[in-house]
Amino acid sequence: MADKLFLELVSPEKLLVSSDVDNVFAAGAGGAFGLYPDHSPFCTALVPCVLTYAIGQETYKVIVSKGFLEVADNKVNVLAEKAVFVKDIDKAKYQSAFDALTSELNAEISEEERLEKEADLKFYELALNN
Amino acid sequence: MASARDIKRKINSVSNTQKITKTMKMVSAAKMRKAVEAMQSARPYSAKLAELIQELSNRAGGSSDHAFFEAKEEVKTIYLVVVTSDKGLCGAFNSNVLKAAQNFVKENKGKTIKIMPIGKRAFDFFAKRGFEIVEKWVGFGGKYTFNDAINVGKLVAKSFINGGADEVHLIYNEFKSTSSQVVRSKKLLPLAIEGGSEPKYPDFEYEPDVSELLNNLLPQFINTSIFQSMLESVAGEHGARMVAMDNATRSAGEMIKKLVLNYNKTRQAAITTELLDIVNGAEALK
Repeated sequence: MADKLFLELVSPEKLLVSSDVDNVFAAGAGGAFGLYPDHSPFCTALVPCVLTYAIGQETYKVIVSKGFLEVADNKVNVLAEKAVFVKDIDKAKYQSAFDALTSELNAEISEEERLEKEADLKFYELALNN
Repeated sequence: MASARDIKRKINSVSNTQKITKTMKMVSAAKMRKAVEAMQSARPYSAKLAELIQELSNRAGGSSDHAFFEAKEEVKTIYLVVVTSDKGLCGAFNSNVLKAAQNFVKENKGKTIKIMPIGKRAFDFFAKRGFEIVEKWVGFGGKYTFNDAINVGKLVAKSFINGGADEVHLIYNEFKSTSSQVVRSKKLLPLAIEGGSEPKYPDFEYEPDVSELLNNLLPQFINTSIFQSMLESVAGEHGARMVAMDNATRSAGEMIKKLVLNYNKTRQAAITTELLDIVNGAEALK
């Protein structure tokens, strides 16, 4: 029986987390879920959400956009298209990106693009509200 | 023979050039360090992604019906993504890629080749030679974000699916070390991922199901491949420029040495002539 999970969180731009953690919470295509050590093998698409994990008494929050999460053998792999630690958020930068996306969404765009932009918007919204 | 003053002027001009090349070398060294860092931090993502796709295609039994896997019966049009730098002065860095691209075009005679240049050098090269340019991405100055790669990837995927391109190839410089870059050419689409071997974990749960996950992952795989090639190319560019500028600095140094020697000789000759004049004059007066 293991008492830790090994979490690796990567975005295309960098490796954000690579350490032993006690638990991980996130939201996937099928809803929010929590992972504890000895979770059964599981793989899901992530939706934009606040991913939290705990090491001892400390909890950490990371905003992730869409991506994928895989857990097996007490290893959690998270692949996020965008990811940022809540403490590293540059509000002004995210606000302007948020505003730009909002105005783009008001314009005429294809359904496909709309879905994608909405997901991005959700990411920025979460980043601003946390 | 050039006068001493001419030589002096030349020495000054060469040492100015040397100063510039030396500075460029140092700038490239600093930029390269950053570029290499960016490249290395992108590696875990692409490695993990490839792993996940492999695992999923094993599970799907290699029978994924995603359009990316569909090899066309007759390949008529090939899109070629060529990654170069925007600026020159980096030795054979760009010409190696362009040469490889040209060889590729030669090998595929009879097929329509359309170019998607990333970097100004590739665009200039192919536009001048009358190739059809699908879309160009220039002027990033080596600062690529993942969004740029997504834009390229989307267009690539779209043209493959709607039949505009029957195959998509990617040519770029891979960063091996500071002094060596290797030209890589790979087929982006159709994808060739072997499925069918035994999945690692038999009782995996998937949300949503396997094929839907795989369909979401595959475009991302294309984007990551493009992103990786962009970053490799940027790091390689700075490495190549550093080496080229180092060589230039060294040859400028050698040239200065030669010129100084020449200058001294000329000066000495002038002094000797002057002395002779004086001696002769004095001699004549006797």
